[in-house]
Amino acid sequence: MNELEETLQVFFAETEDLLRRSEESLLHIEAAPGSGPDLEELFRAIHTLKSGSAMVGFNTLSGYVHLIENLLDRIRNNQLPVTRPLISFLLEDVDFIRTMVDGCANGADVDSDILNARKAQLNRFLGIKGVKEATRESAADSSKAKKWHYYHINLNFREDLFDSGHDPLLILLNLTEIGECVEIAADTSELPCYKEMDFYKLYISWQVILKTTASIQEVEDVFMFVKDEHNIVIDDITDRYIEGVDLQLGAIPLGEALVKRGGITKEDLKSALDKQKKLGEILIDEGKINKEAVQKMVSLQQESRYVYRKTSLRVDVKKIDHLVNLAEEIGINLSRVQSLLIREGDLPRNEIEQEIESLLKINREFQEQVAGIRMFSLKGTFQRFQRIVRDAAYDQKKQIKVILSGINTELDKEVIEYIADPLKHLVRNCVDHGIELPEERVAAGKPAEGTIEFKAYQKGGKIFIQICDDGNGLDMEKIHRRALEIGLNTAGEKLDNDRLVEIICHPGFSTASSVTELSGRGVGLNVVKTEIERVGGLMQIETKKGKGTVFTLVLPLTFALTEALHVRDQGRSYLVPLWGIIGVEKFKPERVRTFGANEKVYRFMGEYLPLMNLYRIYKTMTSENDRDGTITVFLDTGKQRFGILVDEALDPYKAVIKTIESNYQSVRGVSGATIMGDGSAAIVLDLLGLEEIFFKTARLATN
Amino acid sequence: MGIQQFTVSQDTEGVFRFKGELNIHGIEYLKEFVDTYFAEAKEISLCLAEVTFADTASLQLLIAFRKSLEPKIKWRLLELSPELEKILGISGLKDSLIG
Repeated sequence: MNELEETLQVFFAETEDLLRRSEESLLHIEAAPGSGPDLEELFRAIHTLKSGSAMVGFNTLSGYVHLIENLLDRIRNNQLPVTRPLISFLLEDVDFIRTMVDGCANGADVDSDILNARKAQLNRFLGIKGVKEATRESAADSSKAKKWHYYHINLNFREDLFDSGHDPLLILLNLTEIGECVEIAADTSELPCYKEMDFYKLYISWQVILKTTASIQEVEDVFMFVKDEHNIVIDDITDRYIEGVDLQLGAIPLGEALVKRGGITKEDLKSALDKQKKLGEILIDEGKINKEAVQKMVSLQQESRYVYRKTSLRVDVKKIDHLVNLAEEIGINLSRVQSLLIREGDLPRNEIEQEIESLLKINREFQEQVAGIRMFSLKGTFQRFQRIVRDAAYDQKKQIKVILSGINTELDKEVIEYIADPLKHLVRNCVDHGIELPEERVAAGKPAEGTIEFKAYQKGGKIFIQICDDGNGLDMEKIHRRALEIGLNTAGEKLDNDRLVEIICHPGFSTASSVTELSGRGVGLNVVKTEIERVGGLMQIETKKGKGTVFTLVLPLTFALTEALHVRDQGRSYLVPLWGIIGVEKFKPERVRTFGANEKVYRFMGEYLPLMNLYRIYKTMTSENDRDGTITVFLDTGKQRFGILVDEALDPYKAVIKTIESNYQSVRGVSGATIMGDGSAAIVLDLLGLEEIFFKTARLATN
Repeated sequence: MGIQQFTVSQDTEGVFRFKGELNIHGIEYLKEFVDTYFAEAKEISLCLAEVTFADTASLQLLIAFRKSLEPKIKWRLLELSPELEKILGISGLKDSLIG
């Protein structure tokens, strides 16, 4: 017996064993459906059979078994339910495979008509047929309870996808089992010339918009076997869709929409646009108007659009409808209260209380919704900066990669408008002074391409925006020297982070030897700091020579509504913004350590934190009457942790903050005031201002 | 050279009628057929009414060939099987092959 005959004998013996095990497993699965050990055993047997038959050259057999393997894979992933007809079909398949194996042993080909009929049946189970019906049914079932999601899926497979036995078509087919592909755009622009093409490689990529009730995890599972090695990006774009219509389509130019939806390539668009002339150019060419007049009108339009954008708000109709409903509910409840009050006889106290409770609840929701209307994502702002970096880098012959993260972080529209210009300045600062020229970077052992990262995230009620570059870092020696020259610093004074911010943000401070188009005029960072502080924010700078600089802006989430803890001290009401509170506990004298001029630290969660009485900060009581509060509120501003002592802590409260500047004057450590439920006024603490007072006072006392 | 799972016949009107399954296992046969019979043709008319399955590799081959044709050569796809209709819909390749 030669080697081939020996291999074949082993194959036939093994195959019979595998088929017998498959039959057993199928019967067990029918009795107890589910993805248990029997299904795994069946899958292994079929997989071994597929590989074995391919190894001995029985390709028709291997190809057919491969289809069965696909089907079992779907059962395994809960994409196909185990039904009696399916089990019957698979049991018949075992017999059919046996016939095929016998045919292989006898050198007889399987009847192609029978094989095609089996494949057609298998394809039906796989979903080639009847997929629409199945989707429709499942959609009808789920639409009652579940919410539709829209996902944008970018399928950019590697060229060698076919080598691993995968076909994008079957993957797309799997997708249609969990939802409806409302858009499928195949990009064939990478297809090489027919004569130079390798037909075993894949050149097509796809963009799909899937409408489904499935979660993003379930969608990701469809790509389980390919996602690690191929470029597959799934984005939840549900917010873009209203009543099944993609709102983004209306907001982008026709050319961009055609590229996005696969109608044309970027090259097609560029070539068409190159042929197109702007209206102004046509009018100038025809001598109807001169260039200056066109430019003047363009800048007037830009200004008009900017002011409009700054002072107006586009609000989703759904949000307005919700507010109208809430306003109606408030009206109804007020009428009920009124009718209870004018009823003859004793006042129905319980009913009135219930109605008022309900009114307060609706009003809270109303306030939250109104505040929510002002919230917008930072996506647009960050994307504009990406463009600024690109253009500035090009002008200065620098290579800069931009990384964006947290672009969906939302911020009050007014805050966004206020910080847009300061941020733009910081971005330009990073390009101009931060990132070095490619040759300088290479000489310093860095990659030629620098990186600027824009990050945004929310922590408590504050938004943190960071602009990080991996450039030169600030030259502390130069800053120190310059600060000494203009009398901002004294010799020997340590330049810590706070002092650094103070110095470089001082009006007129600049170490730049030359003024560029971007920055270096010494008028930038002080304006940035002032603008940020105007919106109740704070700027921090961290820098390391040769490694880069991080600008961090800490900003209020919104101007409109603040969640705060109501505390009372010395008979006065204060609201402590919840975002900064890390703990509240009864004051325990044994946890206090005193040092220096009556400075105290308090042990909280294993850490000693500086502690101060609120009345000492606001000087509402003289030190002769000094006494400890009964409640300690622990705060973390993102920069410092400390505790304040108050008499009592009451309930959390949502406050609409009124500025006190317009009627009185700006007060450090106070961000505004509000009217409480009982009609009394409460001071809203400005935690960053409080921290500044606190630590400056403490520093002075220590000195 | 893989397995040929399709047959092609040409009717009296010159229409190439494909039958069976077009897949990567028979891609070399498909290429050989295209190179032999389509390369010199002035007009290429296909009937795919009896094609039960076509995978991405085979569709990609036909699309690449179609793209390589000079504008004067006519490409006509006369009929699709329901299975193929569905496959082209799912893959978004219908316009590339027919349009």
